Amino acid sequence: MSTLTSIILRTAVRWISPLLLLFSVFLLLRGHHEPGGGFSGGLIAATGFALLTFGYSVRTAQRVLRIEPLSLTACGLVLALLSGLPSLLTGQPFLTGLWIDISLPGNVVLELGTPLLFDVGVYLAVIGATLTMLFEFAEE
Amino acid sequence: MLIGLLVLSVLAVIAPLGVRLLRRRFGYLAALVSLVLLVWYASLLPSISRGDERREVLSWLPTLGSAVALRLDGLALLFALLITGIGTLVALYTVGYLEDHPRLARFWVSLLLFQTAMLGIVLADDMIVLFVFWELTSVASFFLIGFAEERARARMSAQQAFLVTAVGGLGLLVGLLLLAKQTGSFRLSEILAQGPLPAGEILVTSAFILVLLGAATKSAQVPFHFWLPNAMEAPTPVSAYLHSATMVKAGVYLLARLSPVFSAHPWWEPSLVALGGLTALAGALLTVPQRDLKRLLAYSTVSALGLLILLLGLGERGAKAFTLFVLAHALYKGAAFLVAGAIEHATGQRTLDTLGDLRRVTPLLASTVAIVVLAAAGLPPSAGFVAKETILGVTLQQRLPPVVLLTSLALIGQTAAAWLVLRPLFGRRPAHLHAHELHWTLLACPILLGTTALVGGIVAPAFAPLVSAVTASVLGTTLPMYELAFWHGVTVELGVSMLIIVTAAALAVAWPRLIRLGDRLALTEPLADRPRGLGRIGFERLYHTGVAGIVRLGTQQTRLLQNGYLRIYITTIVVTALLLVGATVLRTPYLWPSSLPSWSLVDVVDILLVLIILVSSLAAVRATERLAAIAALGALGFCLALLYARFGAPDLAITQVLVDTLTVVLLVFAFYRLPRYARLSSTRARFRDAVLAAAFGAMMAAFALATQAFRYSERISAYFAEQAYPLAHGRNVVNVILVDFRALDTLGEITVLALAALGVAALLARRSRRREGSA
Repeated sequence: MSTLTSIILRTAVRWISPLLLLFSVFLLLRGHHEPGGGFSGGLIAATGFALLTFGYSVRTAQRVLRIEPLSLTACGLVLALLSGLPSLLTGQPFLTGLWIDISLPGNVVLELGTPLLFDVGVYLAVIGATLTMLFEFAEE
Repeated sequence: MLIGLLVLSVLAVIAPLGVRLLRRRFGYLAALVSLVLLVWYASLLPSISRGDERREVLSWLPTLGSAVALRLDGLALLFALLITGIGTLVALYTVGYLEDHPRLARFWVSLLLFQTAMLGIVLADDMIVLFVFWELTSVASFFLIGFAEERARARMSAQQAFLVTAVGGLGLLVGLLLLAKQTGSFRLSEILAQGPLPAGEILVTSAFILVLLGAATKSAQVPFHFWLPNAMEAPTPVSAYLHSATMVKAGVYLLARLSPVFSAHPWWEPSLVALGGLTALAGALLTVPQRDLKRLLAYSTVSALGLLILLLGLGERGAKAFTLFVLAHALYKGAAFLVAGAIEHATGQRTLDTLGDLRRVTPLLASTVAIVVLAAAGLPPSAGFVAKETILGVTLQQRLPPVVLLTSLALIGQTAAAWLVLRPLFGRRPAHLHAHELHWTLLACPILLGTTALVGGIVAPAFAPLVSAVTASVLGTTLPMYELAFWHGVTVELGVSMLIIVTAAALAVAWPRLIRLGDRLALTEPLADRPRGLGRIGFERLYHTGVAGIVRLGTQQTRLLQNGYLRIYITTIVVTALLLVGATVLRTPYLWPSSLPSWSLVDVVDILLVLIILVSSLAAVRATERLAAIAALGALGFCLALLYARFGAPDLAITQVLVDTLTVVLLVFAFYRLPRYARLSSTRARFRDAVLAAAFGAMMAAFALATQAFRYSERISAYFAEQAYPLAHGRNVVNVILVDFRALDTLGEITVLALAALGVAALLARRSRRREGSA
């Protein structure tokens, strides 16, 4: 991929990739109320790594990711699966959403629930699966 | 009983750990567990012999009317004693036989699994439970026959035994289900309590035929007998335990168990007598012209199994002889296999013409062989002698010449097989024959089992109550009182019995002549790739032809459906969808909605977007360069996303944009590796594709219109929109559906995604590895 590198691209990637990753987390977290969610968040994050692959190399992107994309996929699947288990303990069907409200100072209520965990699982699985394919193609 | 099964299965699970810690000494632990079970079952002898029963029930599938129900009556106890008793000796024997074999853990897992399942079969009072255990024994047998996995013949024999018994098992399953339908119960005790089933019912006749099929495959009856001699690829303890004493008797057991239900059927006696008689004869004819000690014993087992089925067919008259023969055969045939294994272990040989003069080479082993052979040949005072006299008594009373002839020939063959095991003791010593020291268990186990069989006749009277209890189970009646005696005086039976022993001995002496006949007919070796002699017309040949046919069919349909051309896959999918969905849409009465959505909702931007989509799809098709085609498709995708966004589906729009972006990225990576972008298809093919594409598009449009017109009485989307916040704490309905309402679907989808990634990784990794290999 060395033919594609240019100083402009590299500089841009250096700024855009972290922003994309940050944006992907933003999309993931806002997904429950506004457009977004684990799926689109995951795709955005994958785009961030794709840019790194373009501007630098597969190795760089893999180093930044730190973990095998397939393992990431597996982590995501396991997390999504685990998020369905707490409801079994309370006698409800598998994957029933459970929520707790945490009151924070300033009259803010933080709602946390198992669907959020599930969405994080989707997010990780999507990143992992997309990057597995991307890296394999780019390494060819 | 439940606890016994549980302990055995737990032992099977911890076997790998146990073998790692104890090495071969794990066998002592397994033997100890079997021994404890044996003692427990033996302690129940008095009460069961009086006609009592023991039952245990564990709730399992209450909605299906099935439970883990166990029942111990006379018949079950007889088999349970054999399974645990011979199981104890086989476990001990394995310590010396397999020593510290590298795959010892696998052996113990399979063997203990088998023991659990076999006990399960004979104890089961529920037909589903019985079937599950029945199949488990086939699975365990598969792994044990294929234990020497490096030998192609072992693998093939394992597969053959499994396929044959599995086909029968499927038949059995259907048969048992029909039986349950007829009687309204899965519980054997309840079915048996209903007495003989009406013979006129087609359901009953079908059930009988299917159960018989299951039993015939499991118990190696003609024409399915061929798997048993091939199963001799298994280690000898397995041959002794599964393929002579217990598993092959499962079919016999099942017929005995169901005999009160079916024995009044007009087909029962003729079919069982014919099947059993034919098998007994075929086994007896094939057993003498064999070289390999284990194959020889296997054919004699086939013959004995046939005789057992024949006795069952005689109904009330044969029940007592049946019981005695089950017991006697398990003892002496198990011992015979163990002693054959000991000979092989000591000398490395197990064919008759490479062995000789063992009485001088290894006197201790030779005397063990002698004890076992005397028991197996049915000399007084062995259990076999008493069983043989009873069998002859039954058949002579019948005054049916064919049955008498069949029985005598079968007994001659089986006795000759026993005498043949004695041949290695005498004759000239082959040049390189030498024997090494044997582990004590290799001698102790056959001696113990052989001695039990040999003195069994003397203690026979003590077993009369058990025999009565077994007969009561087989006949479904109250306890008949039997007298068992070792000595009946000088009778016709005794004369015939002695005649059989002498004739068989003569056959064994004449073996060198018979083996030449066997060689000419190609009976002495397992079926070769190019069969000769009788192998050309045998049933095993049919099996091979059948399996080859299935493989060919599989290859052809794979080649037809999985042809590897993406264009054919897509054409298939599109045409199928076109036909199925199109037909449904055309039949919908609401094809043209009375009121189309108002045009005023559509503004100039939408029309512009639609125009761009149309133009870019045409451009993608007509492009002469790949980059242009990709760009056109990209434009198409982004315009679609914009349309989604404008019609109130921002989530869909985001995803569409991202997927499009990433697709372009992937395409760019693959760009340099793709072949030249040439126009390869003819004008006619392109015209055909255009028609197909246009038809598909028209169909989708009609489909969209039809769904518009079709009003559901209640729309689920309204429910989702209303309940998203109160139920799921979310204002984005799409996401709430994804992660809460339909989370299980999403879980399935990300699993598919992960599998796709795994597939791509595996395929590409394999390709790059192959390239490295060739470089």
